[in-house]
Amino acid sequence: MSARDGRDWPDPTRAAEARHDLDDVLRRALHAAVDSVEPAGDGLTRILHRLTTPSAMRQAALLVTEFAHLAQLIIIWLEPAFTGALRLGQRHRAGYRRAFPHQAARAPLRPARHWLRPALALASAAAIVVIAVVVLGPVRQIVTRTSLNASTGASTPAHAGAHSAGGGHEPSPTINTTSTVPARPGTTSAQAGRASHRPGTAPAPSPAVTPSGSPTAGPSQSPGPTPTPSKTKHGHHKPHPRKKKTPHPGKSHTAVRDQAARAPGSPPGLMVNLT
Amino acid sequence: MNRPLTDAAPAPIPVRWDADRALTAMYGDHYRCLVRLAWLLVQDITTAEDVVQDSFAALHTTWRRRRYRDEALAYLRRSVVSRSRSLPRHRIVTERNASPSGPGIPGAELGALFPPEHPAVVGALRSLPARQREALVLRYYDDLPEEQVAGAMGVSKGAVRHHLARATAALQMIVEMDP
Repeated sequence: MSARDGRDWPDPTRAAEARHDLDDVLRRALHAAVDSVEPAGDGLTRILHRLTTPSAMRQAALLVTEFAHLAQLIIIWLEPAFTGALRLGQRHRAGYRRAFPHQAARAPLRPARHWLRPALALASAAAIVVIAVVVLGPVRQIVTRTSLNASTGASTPAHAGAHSAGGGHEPSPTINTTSTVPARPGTTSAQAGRASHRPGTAPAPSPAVTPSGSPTAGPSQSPGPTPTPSKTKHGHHKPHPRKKKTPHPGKSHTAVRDQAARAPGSPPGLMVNLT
Repeated sequence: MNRPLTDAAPAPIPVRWDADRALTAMYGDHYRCLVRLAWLLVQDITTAEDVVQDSFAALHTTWRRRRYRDEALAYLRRSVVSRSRSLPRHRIVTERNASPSGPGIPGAELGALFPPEHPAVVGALRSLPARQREALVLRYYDDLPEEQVAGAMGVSKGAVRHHLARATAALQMIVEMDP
């Protein structure tokens, strides 16, 4: 550093040294940076491959040309098929017009409405339900009447026993309905039943079924229409010691009903109470 | 060790050689150095290889028209510099903003073996303009004189000096600022 005119000027030697140092630093840094860079070993192969293969532009042009040529060939090959299909379609259309001139002359069909099918399905279901309700009601009544007439006409002991039991009867709708409707105000069907079948139609309690088969049943206990009380474990029937002749429940039903029908002043609900 | 990429280093190519033979000889002598030169310019090993291979392919294609076959290496260098410069700009920008752990960039264990100024110099080299970076690489990596640098860059000798001065100043500032 030389002082000339009181001012400090940079030493050219030191500046050159600094510049040289910087050059060395740059040189070493660049060489050190590229020391780790190693190209692939197939460089020459790739160069030869580039030389043998055409350029990208040439490849694209070749590709376009090949595709155009291929499309032309495909069109030529498929031309008979296209022509045949067109002719077939024209014949089909002409035949349809000949067969259905009115429909062919009609305008093209309207596009199908999406809500039409579900609406038709719902309407059909509703119609089926209404028809079932309307038709099956009278049919049910007819069947009920028929079954009622059959039950009243044929009085079997089992059927009578069921009626005498007071609960185990057949599930006839008329019988059920009538059994729940009281005949008089203040009386229930159970009372009416008791009134009609006083001693004989009372349900046979369990003491009537004695495994020993001894005739220990009281006089109040009716022998019952059911044969079970008189059945012993030996399997044969024993005559009841105090068996009194009681009318058959079925007969009593019919007789009472006939009597009620014959009596003009009897209430109309008597038959309902009896049943 | 890296051999300097000078024109006098390899043996001159005989005039009677055909393109394939000359290409094979040039590939064995200069391919690695040219790839490294291209890597310093484009910062990507794959791109650098593509650039150098394209340059070799161009040399093979123009071999018959080459009047002075001794200029083959100069032609390759000039081709590499020109192709590296003409890369798409978005590609360079992408690579410039990429993380430093690229495929061609040394990792941490390799960086530990390098001089301490190496990462800062390489990073500063990325931030330099293309012309300054080319001049710096050709001058300090290839150890070319200013005339040959000017020939490779296609500019005048004064322009090379200008680019070198600005590039070294920027690098010096960066290296001094970086501890």
